[in-house]
Amino acid sequence: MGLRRELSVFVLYLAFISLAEAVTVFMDPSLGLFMHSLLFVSLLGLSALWRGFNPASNLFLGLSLAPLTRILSLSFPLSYFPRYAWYLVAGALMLLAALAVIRAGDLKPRDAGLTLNRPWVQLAFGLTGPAFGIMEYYILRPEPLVSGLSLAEYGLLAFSIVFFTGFVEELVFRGIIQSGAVKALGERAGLLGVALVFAVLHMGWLSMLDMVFVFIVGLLFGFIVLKTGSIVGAGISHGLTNVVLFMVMPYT
Amino acid sequence: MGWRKGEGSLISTVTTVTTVTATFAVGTALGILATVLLISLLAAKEVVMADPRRAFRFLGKSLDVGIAPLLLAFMLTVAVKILEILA
Repeated sequence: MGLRRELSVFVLYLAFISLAEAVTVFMDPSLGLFMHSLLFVSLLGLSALWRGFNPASNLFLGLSLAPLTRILSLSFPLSYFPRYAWYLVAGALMLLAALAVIRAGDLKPRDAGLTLNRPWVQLAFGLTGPAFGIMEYYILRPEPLVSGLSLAEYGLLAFSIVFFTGFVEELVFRGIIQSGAVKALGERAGLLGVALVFAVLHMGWLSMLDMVFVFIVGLLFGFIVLKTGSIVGAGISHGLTNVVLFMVMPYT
Repeated sequence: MGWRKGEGSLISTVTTVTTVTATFAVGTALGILATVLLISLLAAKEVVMADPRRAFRFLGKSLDVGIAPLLLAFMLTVAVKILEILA
């Protein structure tokens, strides 16, 4: 009965996050930001209310990172910075938020997948990234991120994409949110729920096919993290996916 | 008012990098909203940390999840603006 209540609340929040994202993308970014802000605050409140007697407290604390991702990306004027530094700046902000969740939730690094269990499996899975990047390229066909960069700037951009979109997003979605979801809702619901949240936050691409693709890849990443207890392989794969998607394929 | 794929000024890449800079007015409104959120979180932290109950202490700690990145974002924005004026 308890589990059913937590699952219902999670589904409700998933619906609200989807609605806020749809409002941001299709109607009014300011209203979307306001809705995401309300969701963020209410998730922290719910987490505090259940602290100490309900394991879902950490799930909802971690889930607050989903609306916060959009709050930060909407409100921070990235255009003030050179484009090659965008991922570094945006990722640093999310990393700071993720570390605050780890601290507030009394999580150990192992709880958030920050270990190197079965390194060869991690490395092997990491190398799947380029294949995902090629597949996603044929779905989205994005413009090249930048042109006319020096070698050093190109290297910084590639590193920041691997580290900040790969590692940090995996820390947030699989390391923190999924670990909380699996503990509170069970493996199946946890995996499925977090892959849905991850897919919903890709609504800005205006491609239903990409959302389905991201959902499936999110499930796969989640499964690997669940089975190995580490986000390293998923982080490498995610980072390489984006490097191939934005920095390699558009030039071919 | 929402964003449309293909509009050069509306850039959506992955979850962490999505900016809406369609017009100066929209960008300013979003910045103001985020600043109001930051101030609200800081004020809420002061209030809840004054209460010794466990849930309130935890909430105070949890509010750092929003305060830390928003404060850094705010400081970076101010620093860039100052540098822009000085340059």
